[in-house]
Amino acid sequence: MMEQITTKKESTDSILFVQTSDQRILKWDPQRIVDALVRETGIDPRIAHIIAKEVENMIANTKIRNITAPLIRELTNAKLFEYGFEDVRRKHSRLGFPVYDVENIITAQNKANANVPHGPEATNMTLAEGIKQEYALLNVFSLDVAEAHMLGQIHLHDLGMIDRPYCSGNSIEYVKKFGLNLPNAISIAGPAKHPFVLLGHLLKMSACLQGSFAGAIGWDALNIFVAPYLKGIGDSELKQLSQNLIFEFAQQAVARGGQSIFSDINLYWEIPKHFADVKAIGPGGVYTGNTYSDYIDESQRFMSTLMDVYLEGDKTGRPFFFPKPDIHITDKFFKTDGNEEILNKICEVAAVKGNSYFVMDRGDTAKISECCRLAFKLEASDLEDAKQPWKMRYSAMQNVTINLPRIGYESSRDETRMFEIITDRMKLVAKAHQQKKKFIASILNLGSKGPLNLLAMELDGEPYYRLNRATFLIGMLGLNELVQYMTGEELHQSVKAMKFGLKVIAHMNRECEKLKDEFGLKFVLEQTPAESTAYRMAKLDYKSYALQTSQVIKGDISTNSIYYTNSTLLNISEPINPIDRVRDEGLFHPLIEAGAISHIWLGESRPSTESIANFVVKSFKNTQNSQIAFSPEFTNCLDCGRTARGIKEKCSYCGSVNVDGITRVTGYFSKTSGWNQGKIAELKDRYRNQGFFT
Amino acid sequence: MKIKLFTKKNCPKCPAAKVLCDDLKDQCPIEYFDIEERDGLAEASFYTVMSTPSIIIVNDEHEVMGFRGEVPKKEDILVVLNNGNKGLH
Repeated sequence: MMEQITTKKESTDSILFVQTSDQRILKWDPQRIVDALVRETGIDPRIAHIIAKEVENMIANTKIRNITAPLIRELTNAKLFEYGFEDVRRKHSRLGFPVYDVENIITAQNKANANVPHGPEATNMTLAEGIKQEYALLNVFSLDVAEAHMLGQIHLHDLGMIDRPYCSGNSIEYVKKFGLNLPNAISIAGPAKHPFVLLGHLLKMSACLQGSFAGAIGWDALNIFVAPYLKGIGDSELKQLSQNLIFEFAQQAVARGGQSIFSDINLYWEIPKHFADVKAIGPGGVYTGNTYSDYIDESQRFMSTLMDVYLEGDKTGRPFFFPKPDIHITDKFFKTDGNEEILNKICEVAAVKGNSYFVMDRGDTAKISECCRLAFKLEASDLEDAKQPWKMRYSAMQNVTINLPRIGYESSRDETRMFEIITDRMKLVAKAHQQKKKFIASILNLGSKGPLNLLAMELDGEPYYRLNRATFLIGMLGLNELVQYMTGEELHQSVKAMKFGLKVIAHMNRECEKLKDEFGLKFVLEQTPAESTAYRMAKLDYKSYALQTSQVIKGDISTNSIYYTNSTLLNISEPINPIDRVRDEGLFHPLIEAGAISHIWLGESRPSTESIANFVVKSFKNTQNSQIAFSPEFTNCLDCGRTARGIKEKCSYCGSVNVDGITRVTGYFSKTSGWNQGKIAELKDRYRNQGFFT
Repeated sequence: MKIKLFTKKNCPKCPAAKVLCDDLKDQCPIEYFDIEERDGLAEASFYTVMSTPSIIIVNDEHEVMGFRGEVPKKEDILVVLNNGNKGLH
């Protein structure tokens, strides 16, 4: 009930209603200001009284009869600002959005992430993320880190999900062994006894993990670990199972923020050495008495059937956006029976639908791949874990990207200075990682009562999230533009330019090693996907360094559709022979331990399976490239529902202009209508390798 | 023609490779790289040198012959240098 209140004023009495943020009307009481200031900021109560009194006088001097608590807070903050209590003001800040922004968020699509559709769930997420972003910049990170982010010197990824780690690599063995015994569940499921139930558990576990991680959810060696459940299963049932898995992942646009789970399944044709002698867990979560090597037939059949499903696409012929199949190409792959047949099938999928990600594990390298290019390289201790594969849970805590062209501008083309700034910036990134780790550790320490209780659960005697195994990603953006600014040539234009680029990344690699020792954290370089960062940093640089930026920026300045080239990629618009591109881009990959990729954009063309297969073999044998993916383009008609090859303005079948394009935005397929301006500009510029594949 | 030698600390075969290259100084310019240092690592990346010692013989920065993770015989290098000087590479 609304209550009329009379405030005592020295000069006059006035009736004042205070509407609080928890939707109540309260009696005006300046003590509330004092209490809030002391509680939230630790300010001396005597100073708080003076501030409160001045705010009261300010209000008394107006004819306001109705005032909100947020406005009182703003007036208090104005007083704090006036008297120079800047730290106190920061702590006393209120986080939120202007009405105008909320209206925009509710009505217009968020294009920072093309995997977020437009809907009430998505706008909820955007609003929540907005507040968490502000909170992170105010409260989690120090002022120097926050400022560097806001100035565009670095980019702190997924700030809106500050209370979660970034990406994760998981093992279905955990689900097989423990069932679904999750902290927030209202019912507990024991280990699955049937493959369909197991895949149901996998889906639910993925959705739960999506709620605890900001980014991708990857599953290692899925076909191998599911294999013990497939003994004696017929082809028809296996096909149904495979369809079920892929459709369920692909149609999860009902989960967090209406966003499909960014999911990856790692697939092996052979049984890798580190799993070959591992005791297999079968139905009911019990050991079968065999090793995984004994299930190679089932494992291969499953992988092959999954490829059949990818090849068919969805009901309208569209490629499945998720789960991404990460196919491991290894030395053992080529020595395993049937490799030519399966390679052809995988390559047919690549040619027709583009799904296949080719993960090159040369020599003794073993890794879990996920996200747009992230890879967790398995070290000796990880391979030891492989004996108990449910322990193979890896995560990148956070990704922070360094704006390389900006460093060129700041150095005024002085090479020595440029390297000094890179070193300084990497130290700042390390500091940012340390701060995020501290924050996440404090949440994890809340254990089963905290918001990250899923990650704190200890079904195998240690927390699901193994903090001591977390990696901390240091990304880079716009190497090509930095090199162009410093040397006058782009990476592909001369040996000198390429060597300069390698020197920059080698420097970052070496600095990572030094920072590991200094901070005791596992820092690793990663090619940042930079879906929105490539656009954001280009825009910020053009504002502050217009003269310098305009010499190297890509896209169209007149329409503000500008971008920097992703990570260490060569100029994406240049007609470079794709094998040369894969080789030259691959020179950087051994220096970038946590994931690198080369994209081969295909456009409308539909290369032959054989030419793709030859290309993959050559890439594996003759280059150092870590991952490659072939990306065709499609047009989906929103009227007749059919899908045609190539991005077109009209539907090839019914002529409707109500169409949407589909291709990879960074590493994943998405609808081009959800892309930001920078990515749209990049799409126009992409060289599509016409004529290189027969 | 130029020889690029890639070494690192605590590499058992690297001292022998260095002796070999020192011995070839009169026949050909030698560039020494420590792959644990920035410039050495960058140069090694360019020539896909993944092990030490490695000796890469280049002409105008393009690889003519590489010996990766091994110490070749002096004669093997001389053959390459001589052929290169005759324009046979």
